Amino acid sequence: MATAAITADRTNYLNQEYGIKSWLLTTDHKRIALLYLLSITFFFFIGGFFALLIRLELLTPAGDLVQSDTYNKLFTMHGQVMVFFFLIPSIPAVLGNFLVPLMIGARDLAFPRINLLSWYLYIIAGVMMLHCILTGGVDTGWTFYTPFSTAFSNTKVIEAGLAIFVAGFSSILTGLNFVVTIHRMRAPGMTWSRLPLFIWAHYATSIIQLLGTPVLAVTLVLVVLERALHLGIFDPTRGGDPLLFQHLFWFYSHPAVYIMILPSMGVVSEIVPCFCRKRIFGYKFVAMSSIGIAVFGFLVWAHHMFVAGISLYSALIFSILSYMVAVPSAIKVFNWTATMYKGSISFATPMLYAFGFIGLFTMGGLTGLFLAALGIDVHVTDTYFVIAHFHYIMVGGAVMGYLGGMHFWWPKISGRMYPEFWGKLAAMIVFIGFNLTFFPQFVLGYLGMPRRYWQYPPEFQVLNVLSTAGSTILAVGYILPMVYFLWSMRYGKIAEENPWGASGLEWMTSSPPPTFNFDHTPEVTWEAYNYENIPAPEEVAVER
Amino acid sequence: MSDSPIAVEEHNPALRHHFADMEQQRQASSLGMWVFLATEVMFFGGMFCAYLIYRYWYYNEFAAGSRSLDIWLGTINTAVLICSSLTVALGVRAAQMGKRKLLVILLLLTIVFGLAFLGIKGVEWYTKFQEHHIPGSSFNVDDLIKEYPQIRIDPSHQQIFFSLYFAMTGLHALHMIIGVGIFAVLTFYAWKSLYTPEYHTPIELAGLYWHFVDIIWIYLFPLLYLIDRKPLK
Amino acid sequence: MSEHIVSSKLYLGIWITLLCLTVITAGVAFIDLGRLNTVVALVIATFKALLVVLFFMHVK
Repeated sequence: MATAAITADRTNYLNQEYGIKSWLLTTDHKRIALLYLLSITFFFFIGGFFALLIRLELLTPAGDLVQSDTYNKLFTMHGQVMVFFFLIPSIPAVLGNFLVPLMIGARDLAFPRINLLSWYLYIIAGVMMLHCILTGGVDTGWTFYTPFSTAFSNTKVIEAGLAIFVAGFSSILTGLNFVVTIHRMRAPGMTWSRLPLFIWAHYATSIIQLLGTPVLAVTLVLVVLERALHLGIFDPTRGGDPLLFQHLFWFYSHPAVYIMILPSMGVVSEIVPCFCRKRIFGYKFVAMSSIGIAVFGFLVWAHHMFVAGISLYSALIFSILSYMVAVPSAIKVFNWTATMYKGSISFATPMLYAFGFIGLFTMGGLTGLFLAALGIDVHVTDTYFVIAHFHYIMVGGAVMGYLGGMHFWWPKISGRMYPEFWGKLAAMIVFIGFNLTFFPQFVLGYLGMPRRYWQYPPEFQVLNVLSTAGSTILAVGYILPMVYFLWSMRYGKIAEENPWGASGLEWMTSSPPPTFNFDHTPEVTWEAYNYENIPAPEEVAVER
Repeated sequence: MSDSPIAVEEHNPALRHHFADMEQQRQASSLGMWVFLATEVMFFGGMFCAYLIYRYWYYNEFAAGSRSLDIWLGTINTAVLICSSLTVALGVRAAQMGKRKLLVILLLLTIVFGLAFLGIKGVEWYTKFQEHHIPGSSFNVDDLIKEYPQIRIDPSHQQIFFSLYFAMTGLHALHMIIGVGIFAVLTFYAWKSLYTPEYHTPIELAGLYWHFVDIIWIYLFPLLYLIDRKPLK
Repeated sequence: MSEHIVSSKLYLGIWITLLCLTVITAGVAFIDLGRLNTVVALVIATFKALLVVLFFMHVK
């Protein structure tokens, strides 16, 4: 266990070099992670801005803030920016980039220059998307459904499609780097059964990125070609099949949901044992359920198409398969709960987010089962029930996990502690704001309010006002961490090597880590999450 | 595995700082290329899927379209590509044995074969352009309807065949162009004696990529050119 | 995955086999085998692909 004494003026990855060039040409995975952090935060606020406009429009039943065309663009660009420019890169490209080499005891990712290339591709895609947004936007819905996108929409479909195509390659390269790194760069003694579950989750995520994203890419190429040259591949009037588009699109875009949620599950699997001071319950099951989710995730895409005209028999099979994804997901939830059982739980900020994640993900997952059931799906398809369901997964799940992870590893990333009081407050605000925003949408959807309309009958107004009020609270909850994270970089308490008393190699190097992560390549001789042997730090008071 | 970065300095200059030794670096690069090829399979897979469905639905048009392709040029091109795969495989072998001159010659031959393939492909596309078989506003298949009165042809379904034909061969040709570019760079470095029996990973990786592109063509050839060549009744 | 140098004779053998299979697959296409035409073409293609993967790409 090689640990170095911490001195205040120790060289680390942040103060090794200064200047814009040392950042833009860096191949250090930790610096690239920070580049990603800045860029995805930027897009998060763009996407969030659209979300707030949507909620403002829906404050009243009449379409009084924006016209219907503008509204269509708002929800489209909200979806595209949030999915492709925030959620998919969020945890993998920021926390994953930072932590994967640290957690397995490597000096860097296997291909540092490809890692940098992936960030540049993301930026190119982002600039294309911004240009598209500023010069008129796109109104197809984030799903690009044909033939509307190829034959009828008069907005910038081609540019948006190409932007997402490029962003896809950024995502593929990140996944490729992770898979090779996890296979080939582990420190001596870091066997597969000793890997942190965060690594297992990222391994599963990377597999989806690698095998799913190319299909989306080629589908978007076909959409662009079809729109530009009128090939007829997706055009029913020329013998093409719009359902083929939906199959190809969802073959990626359903697994893409697991790209967003799996890394979050990995984060929670790190936080829960640490703040319960216990080894995770059922390590192997949690690890394998990540792989199980990745595999099953590829077999359920057509549940997005139950009302699109697929045959009853295939609908039946996809319905059953969709139920089966719930099994590995439930295994995780049960194992986290079992880990907490008789643990000495401390309610630090990351743990609050983990609690939030477990609760909200469970609700999102269970309502997913409603949607997997053929009969109920027909009733609630394209209603706010669906919107509420996937926001519980993506915002309640993925974003909660992301924020939990950011708080958990912030001391390692910045070398400073964030203010615990404000952290807890923000976590509570996010949780309350989130539920107030999205729970009413379950009810709205069940009552029959369709998605993607800028007007609605007056009887839905009370619930919509609740939702809009919630969204402003949620916005406060998201801005707060940004403020105190920035504040802590200058004024925060200096973080120790291992402020939480957590297991894992990333806590055995200084905070922030030196450029090559470890002074000596660590040798692992212990199992993951050996909390019996790690004393709890005094700072994290055990509050019951 | 060595512990400190200082010990690493004594090794091969091609060893990057974050790897422990050459073997780890080589294995990582090789795995990276294989993983990349897996994504390529999925990339082409989407188009193969579209092909499969429309071939099943519009078999007549696919058969007629396939007949309109030049089987001679197609076969010759397949042979050209197989030859290039041979020169690449021998090139990797030359690199393993440290034969610099032979390596440069074999890489140059690969580029020549690659360009020959692209040239022949260009001739085929140009013919299609003259025949108005390129999807778009001047697309016209009256010639096929006249030529194969036995086959019932719907022009818009015929256009789907040609769309897929150009999309698939175009994507393949794009990969060939990238491959030729890569080999041009590698030839330059090989000529500069950058590669040794201990370090020639770039040659190996480019070889894997090239063989993969060859395999795609091995499937494209029967799927596009040989759909229905039997005598018409 | 350690390196071993394969004899150039093996490569030449594979190359000739691949060329022969190309000619065969083009020739067979002209014979009416009914539905089997497609099957034969794909079996030959898969065999060729296997040869490339196993020998040229050093999987074996």
